[in-house]
Amino acid sequence: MLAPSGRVDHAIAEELRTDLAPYLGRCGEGQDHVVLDFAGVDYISSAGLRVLMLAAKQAKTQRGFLAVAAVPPLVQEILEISKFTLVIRTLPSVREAAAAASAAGLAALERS
Amino acid sequence: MPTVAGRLPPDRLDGDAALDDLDPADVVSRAGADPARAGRVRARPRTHGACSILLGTILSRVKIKQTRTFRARLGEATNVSAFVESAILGMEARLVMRLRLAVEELFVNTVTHGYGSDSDAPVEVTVRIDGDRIVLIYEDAAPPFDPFAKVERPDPDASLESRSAGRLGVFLITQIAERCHYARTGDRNCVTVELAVC
Repeated sequence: MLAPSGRVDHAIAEELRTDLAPYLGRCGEGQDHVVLDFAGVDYISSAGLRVLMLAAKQAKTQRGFLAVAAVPPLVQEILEISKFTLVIRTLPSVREAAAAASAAGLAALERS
Repeated sequence: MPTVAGRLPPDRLDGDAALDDLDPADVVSRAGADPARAGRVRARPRTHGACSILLGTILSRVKIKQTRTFRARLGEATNVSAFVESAILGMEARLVMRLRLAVEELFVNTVTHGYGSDSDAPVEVTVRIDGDRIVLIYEDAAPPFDPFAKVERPDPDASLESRSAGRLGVFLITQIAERCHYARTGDRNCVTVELAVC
């Protein structure tokens, strides 16, 4: 569970990407589930969206579980406008994200 | 609604710009010409309601403009955002976020694509509060480029793998704005983005 906060803009996008990298590296099948708790994020621009997109691509390639949770309404609007909600799993709350992660873990276990 | 004085730090005002369209005599005569409004004003000459009607009439006709010039450096992006935010301080959070978003996308594009890298070249940012609209006027002296000529839209049917990770900035502006306009004026690119006050 990772909780970036404040403004996810061009100024901090690269830093966020670097910070996420080690967690995303372990976000694979049978490995860590990564949930980004966005409750404290009050702004996102295309630079922040790019970081999310790259993270989602990496997680999908590694068959890992990545979700964004508790997105405030104004930030959610931007995710919807940019059609990000179609490619990145967004869940209303951290609790629901944890439940979805557990379900994903369970499903993976049953497949194996 | 905040008063004009409350909304504007005086040191941030352009000398020529404040209240440039306001003629109080005209406001009063217009109020007087409207029988319903005039009647209410006469019936309750000292009430808050009457004052609000007049104040609302005045504010809806006020044009407040603030301009600042920045150097085209990515490190300045935070200052550009802070400037536009201060220009509409106290207004609705959605509007503040949209204005920040528009100017950040334009500024980052100017530095990285327009001028090519950090430089001392100018970027002039103007924010005008114009009745029920916020108008962002954004000018740089980079080679001619119309950001709205060909806007790439994210394809909702595209798979995650095939979606590009970038180039969303201008698309976002076109989606949050009421109107976007580009003009080449002399040696300047002039982008105008109008946002509706929610």
